[in-house]
This record gives sequence, C-alpha cells and structure tokens, in this order.
Amino acid sequence: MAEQILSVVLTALFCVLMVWFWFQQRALERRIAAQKDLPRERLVPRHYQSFTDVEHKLWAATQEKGRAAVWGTMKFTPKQPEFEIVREYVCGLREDFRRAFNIYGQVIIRSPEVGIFALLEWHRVKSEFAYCRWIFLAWLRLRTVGISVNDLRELTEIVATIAYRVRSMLTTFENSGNVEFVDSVLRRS
Amino acid sequence: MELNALENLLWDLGIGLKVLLCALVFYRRLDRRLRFFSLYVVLLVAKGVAVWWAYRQWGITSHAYAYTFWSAFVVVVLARGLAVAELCRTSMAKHPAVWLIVRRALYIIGAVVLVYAAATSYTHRSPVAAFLYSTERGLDISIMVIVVALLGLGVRFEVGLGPIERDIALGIGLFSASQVVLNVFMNERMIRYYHWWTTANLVAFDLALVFWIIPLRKPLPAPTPAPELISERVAVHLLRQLLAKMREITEELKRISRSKWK
Repeated sequence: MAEQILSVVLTALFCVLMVWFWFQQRALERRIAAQKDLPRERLVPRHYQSFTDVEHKLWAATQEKGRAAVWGTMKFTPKQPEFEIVREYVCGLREDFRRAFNIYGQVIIRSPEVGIFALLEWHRVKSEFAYCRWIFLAWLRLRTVGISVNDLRELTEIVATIAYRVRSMLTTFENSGNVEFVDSVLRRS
Repeated sequence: MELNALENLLWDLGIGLKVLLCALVFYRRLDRRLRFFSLYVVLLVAKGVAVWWAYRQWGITSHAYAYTFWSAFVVVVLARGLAVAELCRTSMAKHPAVWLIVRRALYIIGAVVLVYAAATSYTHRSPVAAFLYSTERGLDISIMVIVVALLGLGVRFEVGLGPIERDIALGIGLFSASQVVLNVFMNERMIRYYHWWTTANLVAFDLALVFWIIPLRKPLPAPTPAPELISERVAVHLLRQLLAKMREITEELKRISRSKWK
C-alpha cells in the first residue's frame, strides 16, 4: 500500500510540474512577443547601475528626518516612506538578474560542444545559487525586520557580476562581427 | 466481463473523438510537422476500429479479442514512444549540445525500460503479457519524466516548444500519468472494481483527445523560427574565450572577497 501511495504522490507531483511548466512556457512566449519592439538598452540589465543613486536618495531621506544610526546596517522597514525606493530597487534587481540569466542561457544553449556547454552552465548555476540565497534573504527581511544598505549592496554585487559576464559575452560576439546573433539572443531572452 | 452501458458510451465517444482528431491532423497539415504523432493518431483510429470490431464479433472474453487487443496495443504504445521522441527532436535538435545530452538520455531510458520489462517478465507465468504490460508501465513513467524534463528545459533555457507541440506534450504527459496511477491500482484484489477502472481509463483517454483537438480547431501557428547560429568553428573558438574570461572573473571575485575579510 505504501508503494502505491508513493506512486500516486510522485505522479501527482509530476502532473503539477507539467502544468506549471506549461503555463511558464506560455508566459515565455507572450513575453518574447511583447518585447519585440523594445529598444536594445531595455533588453540588457540596467537597474543595478543606479545603486549609488538609490543609496544617495535613501541617505537624503534619512538625513531629513534626522535618523541617527550606523549607515550600512540601518534597516528600512515597510512602515518608513523611503521603503518604497528600496522595494522598487529590489524589483529592478530581480528583473536585471532574470534578463542576465536568460541572455546567458540563450548564448550557452547555442554551444556546439557539450563540454563547453556544461562548464558555462556550471558558472550559471553558481550565480543562480548565490542570487537565490540573497534574494530569499532580501524577501524575508523586506517583510520582517527590514533591509539594510549592506544587504542591498551584496545583492547588487551578485547581479552586477552576472550582468558583467553577460556584457562580456555580448561584446565578444559583437566584436567578432556577429551583431545579428547578439540581436537574436537579446530578442529571445 | 462485458462492458456496461457507460463504458460502451465512452468507448464510442472515444472512437468519435479519435476520428475527429485524425481528420483535424490532416486538415491542418500537422502531419508535415509531426509525422510520428500523426502516425500515432492514425494508429489510434485503426486500433479503436479493430478492437471495437473484435469486441462486437467475439466478445471481450474471447482469445481472438485478446490477440487483437494486445497486437494493436503494442503498435500504439510504440507509436506513442516515437511521438514523444519526435517532440524532443522538434524542440531540442536546433541546439546541438543539449540535443546530444537529450538523445543519450532517451537511449538510456529506452534501454532501462526494456531491461525492466524483461526482468519482470522472466519469472512470470505468461512472460509475453508480462513483458508488454511492464513495457507499457515503464514507457508511461518514462514519458511522464521526459515531458516534465522537456517542458522544464524549455523554461530554463528559454527555448519554448511551439504552441501545438506544447499542448500535445502536455496531453501525452497527463495521459501517461493517469495510466501510471490506474496501473498502480489494477491488481487481483481490485478486480471487483474493474468497471470503475475501465471507466476511469476511458475518461482519461477521452480527455487527452480533447486536449489535442482544442488547439487544432484553429489553423496552425507558424513554426518557431530556428535560432540564429554562427559557424561551429567560430562558436567553439568564441565560447572557449568566454569560458576563460568567466574563470578569470571568478578568480578575481575570489581574490576580492578574500581581501575583504583580511
């Protein structure tokens, strides 16, 4: 009986995954169609570059209210008005990572050799793990104790690293004369 | 054990749906895009007609019916396996490295299913029936896993299947899942619930047919264009360069994080 129950549970799990992936694929198709006419600058990660501006805005807002604390560890909680700046920035980072991750995937999947594909995918998986860890912490802190500038800096570093990797990839391909290839990668990611 | 009125109705409905699906497949020219799936649909109709005829002619308990049923069953199960392999090829063959991995995985899965079926039928009283039954069970489990992997890989690498291929994959996957569950519960102790089992089986298959018919109501969307590729030699050269750069970046990051902690 235990074996039968296990089989049913596993099958149910597979069914849920199947349906979930099916919906994801539909969403992917719609997203690719929607960004067909977007300018190229909006197809690459860009929000992470505004970290210093965000930090400056937060600094100005806290100075106005005369809040005193160690800057790097000062928490921004949902009750504070400047929290909206933090929330928007984290959303932007999320979008940046998704874009960078997808562009990276689009480039490596066109690799003709399994060995190179596996090694590049391993680099991608490592970036994904680091990002997931920090985005989970950010999500948790945004809803509980609040997020600090140091947390935002850590998350920005992770996103900036993958964005730099992606930019290096695209530049390498563009410099070798494969501009159409780069365009196709950006439109599909 | 004869079929009851509900089962007869579902069976007839199933044959009607199969004929409709077959007609739509050829009307919409899906046979040019997915040859093995179209063959599978044709074989489904042929199986439905042959089994129905054998049932009316000799009854469900006759040997003639059993031979007809099992022969048709083997052909259809093989065609279903080929249809899934074709879906994998359609979506992944444009990506050489991934397709190589997927192809190897398919060969391994095929070999494992056959070895499993042979091992379970070896000591059985009727080895042929046991072999076929185990092959179908193994194939259903494999199809379920393959469809999840196919859709999942598509999401991970943003290489979505075409809309029609996606619906067909989901229909096959869900039907295989229903078969796995139904086969789990079909044993000698459950024989008194045979009619429930048959009804559930027929309903599951009719639902899969409806799932395939729905996207074929409208003309097929244009196939997804192949991704822009560069020549193999240049791609390998550039990707090696990139790999070296990734390693450099990783080393640099390690060095920075070490200096942070000093």
